[in-house]
Amino acid sequence: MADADRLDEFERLLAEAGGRLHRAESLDAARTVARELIGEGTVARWHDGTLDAIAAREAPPAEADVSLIVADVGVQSTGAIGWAHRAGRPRATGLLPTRQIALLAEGDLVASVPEALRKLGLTSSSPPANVVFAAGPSRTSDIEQRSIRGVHSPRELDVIVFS
Amino acid sequence: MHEHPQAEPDAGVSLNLHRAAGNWARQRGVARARVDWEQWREQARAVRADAVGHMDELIDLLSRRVSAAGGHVHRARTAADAREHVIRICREVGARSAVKAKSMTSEEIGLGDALAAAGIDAVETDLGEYIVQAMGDRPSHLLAPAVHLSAAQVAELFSRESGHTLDPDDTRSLVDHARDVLRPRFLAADVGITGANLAVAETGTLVLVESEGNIRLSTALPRVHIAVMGIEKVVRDWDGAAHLVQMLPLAAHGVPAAASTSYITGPARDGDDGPEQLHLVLLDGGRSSIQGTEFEAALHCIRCGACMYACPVYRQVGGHHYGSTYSGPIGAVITPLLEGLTPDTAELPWFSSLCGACVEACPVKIPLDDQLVMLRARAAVANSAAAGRRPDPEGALFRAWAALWSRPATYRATAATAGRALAPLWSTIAREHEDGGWHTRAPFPFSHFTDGRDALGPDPEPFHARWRRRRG
Repeated sequence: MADADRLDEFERLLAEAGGRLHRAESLDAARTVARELIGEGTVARWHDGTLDAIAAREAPPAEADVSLIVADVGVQSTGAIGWAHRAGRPRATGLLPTRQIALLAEGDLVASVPEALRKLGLTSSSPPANVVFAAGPSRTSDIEQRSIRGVHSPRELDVIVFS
Repeated sequence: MHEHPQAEPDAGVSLNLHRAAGNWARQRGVARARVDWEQWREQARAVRADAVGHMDELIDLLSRRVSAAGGHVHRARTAADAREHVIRICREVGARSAVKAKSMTSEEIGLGDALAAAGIDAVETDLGEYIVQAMGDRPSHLLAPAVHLSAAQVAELFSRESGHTLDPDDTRSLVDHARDVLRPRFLAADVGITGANLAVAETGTLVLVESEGNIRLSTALPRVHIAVMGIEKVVRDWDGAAHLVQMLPLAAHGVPAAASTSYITGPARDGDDGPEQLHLVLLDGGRSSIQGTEFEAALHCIRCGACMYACPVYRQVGGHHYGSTYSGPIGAVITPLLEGLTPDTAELPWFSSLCGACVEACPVKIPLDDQLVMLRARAAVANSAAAGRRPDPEGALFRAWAALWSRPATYRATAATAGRALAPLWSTIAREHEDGGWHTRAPFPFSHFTDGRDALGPDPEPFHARWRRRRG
């Protein structure tokens, strides 16, 4: 599958899962998209150079409006993004705010789940302590099968793919 | 586990279940269009068969790998052993409060009551389980624990909790209430207690699949994570695990990926903000006694819930009527196997019409219908051995019934009399549904029949008489 088709398929499945995809020509353009999405909101973010020069107002995860993270991988066959937690990339940042924005480099899009697991080091002899894959925002249908997006972890997910 | 309080039967149970089953059937169609379903099933079956066939070896490998990653492994032969491990760990770390994320295994071992008795304030955090716990009820489906409850019942509960009136039709506000109540509990909890969907032996990694984010919060914020897992959930390697993490959401919800999937290898390290300690409690609870028998395939189950929605009996009666932790076709098989054929469990293999819909739905191809028949044979043998030693009024009644109703003349005479005699009793005592003829409560001596399902009363005009009249 050509790169463009692969991204289209990823976008389709992400949308099915309730997420939104934004395309950017460059990292700088992606930062601009992120700033527009954040608006006046406060941001909890990872300490990762990719996320510099985006958030004007930062706040601790339990108080912030927006969670700003970097996805290590996007999976074409599921529409999910995946990442590993470590120093500077706390778990709480990706969990507590109501909205989540993830930046994903187009080169980190892979075709399948096995490839994504490999890319995150899970199949190595010493996997990271905690890896998470998220396909869209959290959801529930526990009350009379009515589908509701947003339960405990973020209720909205925007993925900005940049080349 | 059979003495839990039974929820008051509600006329809406069947409606909710039928809606859920309808959704599942639609999603199943979508799932099968996404992949080569039969080939995927066969591959999933092979992964599970390899794992269960080599359970001892793989559990040893898993234990070594979890320990090498800095986790602690505790082996529990019985449910009581598993409860003791969890309580002891909670005491050792000085835990006062715990958040629980959906785990049928913790339900299986009765962990909620044990934690309460030990003075540990533990709250269920899955929305359905939170509702069920707050109502003093228990789950009725593997994935949709509150599927037997109506929005009106949930709104009533949440209105009482919050002190202001919540609208049953405003599902958003109901969900937000649960989020608001549980958020401080997550932030304050000392311990997070979860299950595990599977564990990868070769790296010691636990895999947890969810929709709501409560498992991620339970494994991120508390300083100790305790996972309670049945030993059959182990898989050998990442090739197998990668297939099952894709199969599970397809089989359960018809989607290619769950909202969140967590891969946990040991406690937090390298400055990560997760739990300082990881404890894995490995529960046997009768599982190893099934290994190597003709019932071994029952251990292949990945707890997707598909057989439940597919089953016409489950759809009619709901999960509570089984009286066991695991309900539906897999529950009717696994409960007598794990607990033995007791008076409580021996009836479960008859909770099936043997239509085979469960077998067709199962993503790991468990021959549930064959296993139900084999269990019926076992129960019958046990029962006839016992029958020689005690009076058998039920048997005598059925023999008399068979003698009367297998001859047309005696059938006609007695059926008409029985219908005429019983109908007035039903019409005075029984409460009726709005849709004609269904009773939510039957009169004595049939009252137990309607504990968990509705019944059609006797017709004063027997079928033979109606047939003659219709044909003129």
